Amino acid sequence: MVALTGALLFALRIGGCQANSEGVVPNTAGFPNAGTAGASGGGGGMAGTGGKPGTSGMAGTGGVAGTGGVASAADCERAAALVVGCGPADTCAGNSIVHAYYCDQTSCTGSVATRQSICGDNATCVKGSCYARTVTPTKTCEIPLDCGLPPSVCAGRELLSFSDPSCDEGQCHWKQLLNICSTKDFGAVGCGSGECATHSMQTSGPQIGMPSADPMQPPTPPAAACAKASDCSLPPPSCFRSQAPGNLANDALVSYVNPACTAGACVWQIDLTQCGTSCAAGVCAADGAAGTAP
Amino acid sequence: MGHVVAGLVACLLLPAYSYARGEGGLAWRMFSTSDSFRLRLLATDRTGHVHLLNPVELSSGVEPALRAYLQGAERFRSWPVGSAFQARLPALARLGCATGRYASVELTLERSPNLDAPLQVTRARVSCP
Repeated sequence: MVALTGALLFALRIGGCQANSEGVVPNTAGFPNAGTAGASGGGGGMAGTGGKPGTSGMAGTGGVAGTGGVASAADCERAAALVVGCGPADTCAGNSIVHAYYCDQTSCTGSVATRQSICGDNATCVKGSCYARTVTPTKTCEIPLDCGLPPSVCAGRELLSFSDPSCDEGQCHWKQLLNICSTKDFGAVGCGSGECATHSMQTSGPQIGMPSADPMQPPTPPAAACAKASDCSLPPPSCFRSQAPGNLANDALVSYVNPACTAGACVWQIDLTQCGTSCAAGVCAADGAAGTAP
Repeated sequence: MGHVVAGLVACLLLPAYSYARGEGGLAWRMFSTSDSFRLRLLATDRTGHVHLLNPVELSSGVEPALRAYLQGAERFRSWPVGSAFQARLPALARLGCATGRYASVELTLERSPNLDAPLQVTRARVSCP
């Protein structure tokens, strides 16, 4: 029986690996949305000025060790290697962050072990966090859309993203957004390689969680064979109702545009146009506009 | 016997139930594919100028689990959430209206179900109140 179960499981996994993921809605009950509680222990250190993530999460002030810095050298050595733990606020020494952790991580008091990490050439240390020097984006332009969006960069433990470019005297400038990686929501432990490093990348600790399941997908057009794009006629418009925040219905008109013939099959782009109120039979009810492709 | 029953439930019944619902989430197949996606957010202001916004600007108002995946979504990512974004595209586009004084917002999702598949493009357009 067990062998049979194993064989069936193996076949199932093979099927899963070869399956096209079309129509798959990730997650579901197995991955709690809010599974990050306590991941980083709250907002301490969020803006790069407070304590480090995990400070409040590890509190435990009623510990048995008492105070007074009685921790051993080994405790301090372990504390200095911590990534998440309790300790005083990080500071700067030159262009390096000085991470400080209490040797006694139970009482979170007493002697402190420190470790330094260099911010690097493209960042500068300010109040215990590395901030990217925004010399990064240099690009010439004629219009703002020429600028695109540069890749996000790490600014200490946080993520610096770029948005809404403007073109001033032929040079691109971007609005800079500092995204806080160290929050309970993200379950992140910092920033690395231009993205928030989450606990889900680790083998232990809380997972970041997956979005809740939403079985409603925009309707896919019927399959059609083709030799060239002109063989692909436009499928009739239809309606799509997605769930908006607050469970407000969000009706949209679905149109299929820009047909292409790929590997002998028609492929369309899907346009979802918001209806004023509701949509039925490929027509927005609010304005009565027929659902024709733009 | 108890172990066999547990194995059958965990390895067969739950995944089969999940497939039957059409999602496959409990079959954990989202980690067995190379689904990748990218988001492009364009907002037109009241004077007709088009602004290229970072998708992370939509972060406020979305569920925390989805919010995390907006970071870096301006580039192709192999995260198993492409279909989750697709299902919510009009709602996400509407959130773009709150990021500035815009007349309309267009949010485009480009997905590639696997490495060889052509891009699937879905675009949501909303008029801002």
